[in-house]
Amino acid sequence: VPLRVRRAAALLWPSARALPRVPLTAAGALAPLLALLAVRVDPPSGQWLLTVLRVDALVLCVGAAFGLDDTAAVSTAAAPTPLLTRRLLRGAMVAVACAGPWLAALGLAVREPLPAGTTLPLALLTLEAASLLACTLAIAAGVARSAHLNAPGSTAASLLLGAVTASALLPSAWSPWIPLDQAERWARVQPWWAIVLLSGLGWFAWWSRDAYQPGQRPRGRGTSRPHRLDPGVRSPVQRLHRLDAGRADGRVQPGDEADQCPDERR
Amino acid sequence: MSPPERPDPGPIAGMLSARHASVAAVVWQLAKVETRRLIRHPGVLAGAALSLLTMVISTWNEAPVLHRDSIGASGALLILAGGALLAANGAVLRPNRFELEEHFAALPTPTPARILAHVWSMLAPAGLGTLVLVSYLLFLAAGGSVGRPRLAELLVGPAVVALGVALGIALARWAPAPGVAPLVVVSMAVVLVGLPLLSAGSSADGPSRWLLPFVGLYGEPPELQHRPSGWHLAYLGGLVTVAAVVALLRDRPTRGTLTVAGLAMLLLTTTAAAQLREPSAAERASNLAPYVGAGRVERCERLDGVSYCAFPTYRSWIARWATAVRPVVAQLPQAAGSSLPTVRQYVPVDPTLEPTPRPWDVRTDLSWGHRSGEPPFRQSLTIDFAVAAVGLPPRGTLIKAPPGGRPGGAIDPATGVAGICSAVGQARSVVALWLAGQADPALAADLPSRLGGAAMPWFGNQVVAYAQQLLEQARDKVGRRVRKHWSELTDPVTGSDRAVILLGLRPLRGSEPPHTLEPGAGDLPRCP
Repeated sequence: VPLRVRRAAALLWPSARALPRVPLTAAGALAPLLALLAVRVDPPSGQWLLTVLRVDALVLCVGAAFGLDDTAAVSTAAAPTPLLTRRLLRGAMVAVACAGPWLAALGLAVREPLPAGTTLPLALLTLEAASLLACTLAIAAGVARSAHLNAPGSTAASLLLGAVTASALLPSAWSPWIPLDQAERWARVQPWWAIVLLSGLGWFAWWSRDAYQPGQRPRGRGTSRPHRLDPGVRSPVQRLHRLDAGRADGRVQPGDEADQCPDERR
Repeated sequence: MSPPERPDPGPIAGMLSARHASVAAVVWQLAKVETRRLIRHPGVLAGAALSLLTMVISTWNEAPVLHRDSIGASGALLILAGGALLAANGAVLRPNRFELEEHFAALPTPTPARILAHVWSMLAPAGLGTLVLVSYLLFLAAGGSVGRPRLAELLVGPAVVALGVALGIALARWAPAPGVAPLVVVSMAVVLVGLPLLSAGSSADGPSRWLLPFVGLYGEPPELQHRPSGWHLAYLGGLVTVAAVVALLRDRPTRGTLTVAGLAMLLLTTTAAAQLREPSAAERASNLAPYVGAGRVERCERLDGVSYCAFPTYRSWIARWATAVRPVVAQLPQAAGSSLPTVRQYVPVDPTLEPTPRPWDVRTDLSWGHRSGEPPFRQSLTIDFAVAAVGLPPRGTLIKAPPGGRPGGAIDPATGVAGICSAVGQARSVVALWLAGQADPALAADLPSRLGGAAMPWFGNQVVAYAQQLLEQARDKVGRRVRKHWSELTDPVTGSDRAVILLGLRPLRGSEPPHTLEPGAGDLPRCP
């Protein structure tokens, strides 16, 4: 078994215990409850069920926005396991936690008889929900990275709600939320949702990189000032690497100051 | 060394005892800080921007009616209320996030004083909401609005925003967990938007909906609704106070807090009871009296030989209606001038199934389009006026079906009254469609699709094809022929085959399909 897999397996239980339970549990309970109340409307129309399922997805994503909240982030930042691995593990667990309530809501919705010729596009709805979840995790990771927050959940959830509200105000031709009776637009919007899903996952991974890579100059807020004052500061290991590279390409000649990188000569 | 400068004690500190005055001074200082922070919170600013955007977008294509749009605008402030709820919740949870509770516990200022400062900060988003509302109303007024906004309806918006802040504070006190506030916002959005839509027409569509923080119009004009907006505003005041008191009750309650809680509950129950009272039949009748029946209050004007009658509030719309009617009137002969139909404004109340007396009015209701939304309204009125000008019953007219007709989908079996009739094969139908089409090139290009629906006379395909033939010819030439043979062409007994001869049309072969709207429905009665 590769080391990474073993390391991830070892992290599984501690990461699961560190997940914020209140928002995930509350969202997981609320989503099927809303679906249950919605199907009690007599008779529920297809469009109504579609809207309720979309609200369910939003509720689950609001809970998932808190999935990256980690009060121990300061301590775990020093762990050898990369942040990306820990975040992917958390993201996967959040997705699994959302999948159950989502399937329950879908199950409640499909049990309801709809008018003839009306069917809920369940696969496309699930794609919508997955894309929204990926975007939510990406927003949370982006907030955590840019604002140096250990608990980006509140900000991410607020941003998500604002973004969804703003998207609801778009003209109907541009709206990503297609009504049930526009079957031809459902087929057209499907690749776009897939692109959103992949982009969301991509941004989630990008924003989950460790802030400081080995050998990389620290960047970001609060780290630029010392380096601006003294650009020559580098780690000893990096200095050796650069010296080797200078010797290899002939920039460092015998008799040069051997302990100085070529671009550090003053 | 000079003594340190004492902070500003605030406006009410002078009225209190020394102990309370010192707390009031601290609350005043904290309230100023929290107010500044809350008003600059991205959630509040984004909520205000999205609220304004919602107001503008939702009425962009509608002619502005201030007493109607002010209600919708108050509803749009629900978005700001959601943002304010999240912001206030985050502000109260700030010590939790940074683990400062223990540090605050060592300070002489008690927690309720800090919470009270948060409560006072609600004035800032509420004020921002008022600013957004006023900006929107100025925008509407600049676009030629009618009516006057109702103050109580307007103030509901800022009150809902204040309620959002109070709820955010109470949630942070009683459920200080992350994630609770956003989930509450989504749930409340579902309840506030979904519940009234779901309960429309059901038993829950009664006065109990006024227990929600905001009650919209849901498509019905405000003139026809019983809206206890003054009571509702007071009810919201009670809700805000109760939510604020609930936040304060997390700590050991003082006598003052309990007194305010009691008064707030009294206000809440009194105003809730006042809202739940069903209006009596007499009250409903008196509300409707200025709009229906003999007691209707209207102002009439005569333009280009046509009478336009509008409710006093909507009088300035007459000029808009005239733009739809004028091109039709321009093609009518002098002889038709004495019998031109009147364009009259109606409220969309349930029809009483009484046949409408002749001469038929051309009906227009309490809405009209604006910007890109105006052409469909104008074209509908053009068609209706052209139809009525040739003597056919226009949209919305009820006619008495002739005896012996087979009752079906179009005829009420009990009363024999129909809301649609057949104008198939009549010369005047061809003239009506040409009059409408020549008035608006966009309408002429889209004529067949504009004649669908069950609320028009049923023209049939042949009549539409003849009208399209006429529209392809020179307008002046056709106009001269129509005016020359006006009385014969508009006679109900003149058939379309005679119109072919009089107007120089190419005759079409084939017969018309039966005049039914749907399989199994009876024949449509012939238009009188």
